Amino acid sequence: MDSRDEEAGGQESGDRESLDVSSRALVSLRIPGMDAPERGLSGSLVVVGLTQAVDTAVGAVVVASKPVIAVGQWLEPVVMPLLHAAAHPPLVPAGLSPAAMLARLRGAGTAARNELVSAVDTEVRTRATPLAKAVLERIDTTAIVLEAVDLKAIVTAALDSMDLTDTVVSRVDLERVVTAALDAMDLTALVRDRVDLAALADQVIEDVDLPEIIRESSTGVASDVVRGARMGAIAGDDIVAKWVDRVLLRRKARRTDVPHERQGILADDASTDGVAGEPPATSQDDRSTHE
Amino acid sequence: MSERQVHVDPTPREARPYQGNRAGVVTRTAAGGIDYAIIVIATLSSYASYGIFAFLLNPRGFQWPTWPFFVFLVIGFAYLVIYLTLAWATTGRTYGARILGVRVVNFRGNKVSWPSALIRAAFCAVFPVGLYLCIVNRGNRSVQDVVLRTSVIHDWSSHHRAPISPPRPESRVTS
Repeated sequence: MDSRDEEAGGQESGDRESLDVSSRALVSLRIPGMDAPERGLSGSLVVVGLTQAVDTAVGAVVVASKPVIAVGQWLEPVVMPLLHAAAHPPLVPAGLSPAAMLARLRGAGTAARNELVSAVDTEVRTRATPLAKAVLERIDTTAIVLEAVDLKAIVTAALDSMDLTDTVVSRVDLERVVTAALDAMDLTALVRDRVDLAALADQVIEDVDLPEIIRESSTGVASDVVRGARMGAIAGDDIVAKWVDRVLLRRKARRTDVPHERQGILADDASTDGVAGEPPATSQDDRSTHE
Repeated sequence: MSERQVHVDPTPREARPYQGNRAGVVTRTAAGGIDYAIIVIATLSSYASYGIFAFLLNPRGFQWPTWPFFVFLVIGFAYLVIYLTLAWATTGRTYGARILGVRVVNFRGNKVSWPSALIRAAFCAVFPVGLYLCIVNRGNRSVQDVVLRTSVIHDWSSHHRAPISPPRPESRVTS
C-alpha cells in the first residue's frame, strides 16, 4: 500500500514536471504573426491555461467514471439479460421490436455519416488546393526548405540509389544532344583556337616516322648502302672512343658537341637566310638511350 | 593558335642524336679514304691524259711518259689542296664527307672561310696523320681542328647549314 502511494506520488510529481516542461516549452514558443514579444508571451499563457483546463477536465471524468464502471461491471450479469429482453420483447413482431428500430436508426445514422464524410471530402478537395496556394504564397517555401532540409544528404541518397549514367543513356536522346551541340559550335575554329596543330602534327610525324616512309618509298639500294655505311662508321667511332677512354682510364665522357655560342649564331643565320629551324639534336645522354 | 611551321626531319631516327656532334676517327678516316681515292684517280687520270695528249701529238714515237714519283706527289698534293679548299669553303664537305654525312665547320658552326679552308687543306695535305689525334682527343678533334678551331660534325641533312647540337652535361661516366 505504501509502495502504491509512493508510485502514485512519483507519477504525480512526474506529471507535474512534464507539465511544467511543456509549459516552459510553450512559453518559449513564439506564435507566428505576433511580432511583439509581449503579445507572444500572453498568447502562450492562454494556450498553457487551456491545456491545463482540458487536462483537469479529463482527470475529473476519469476519476468520476471509475466508480460508474465498477458498478456497471458488477451489474452486468443482471442488466445485460434485462436489456436483451427489452430489445426483443415477447409477442412483439421482430420488425417492431426496439432492436429492429435501433438497427434502422443505426443504418440511417451510418448513411448520414457517409453522406457527411463524402460532403466534407468533396469540400476539402475543392478548397484544399486554393487554400494551399494561398498559404504557399504567404510563406517563403524555398527559404524554409533550404534552412530546414539537408538537401545535400537527400541528393546524395538519391544519386546513390539510382544509376545516373543508365538513366541518361535510357532517357536522353544523346545523338540529338550531340548533334545540337556540334551544330551550335564551330568545331574547326575551336580546334584551331585550342589545339597546337603544329605540335600535334610534329607528334604525328614522329609517331608514324614519316621521314622513314618517304625514304622507303623514294630511295633505292644505294641510299640504303650509304645509310648503313654511315651508321656503321658511327658505331665504329663509339667503339673506338669507348676502348681508348677505357685504356686511358677516363671517367668523364667525351664532349663531342660544338660550343654553345654556336646556337645563337646559327639562330641568327636561320633568321637571315630564311631556312626553317633545324631540329635540335639530343645530348649524348639521350644518344646513349638509342645505343 | 600556333603559327609555327611543321618541320619534317629527314634524318633517320637512329641518326638524329648524333647530328651536330663531332665525328670520330672511323667516320673521318672513311671519308678521307674516299677523298684520297678521288685524288689518286684524278692524279692517275692526269697522267693518262698527259700520255694521250702526247700520243696525239706524236703517235709514231709515242712512249708512256716516265714521271718520277715526286711529280705524282706534287700533282696529288696540288689536287688535294684545291679539292679540299673548294669543298670546305663552298659546301663544307667533300665527296667523301657527303657520303659519310659529315661537314667541316668553324668554331662558330658556320662554313669555314676561304683562307681558313686553304690553310686547313694544306695542313691536311702536309700532315694527314694529324687526323688521328681525334682517337685520344676528348672532343674528337684532330691536330688541324685544334690549331684552326674547326670541327668535323655529323650532318646528314642536304642543306648547307650545320645542325645545332644541344648543350651537354658536364660529365658522364663511360661504360
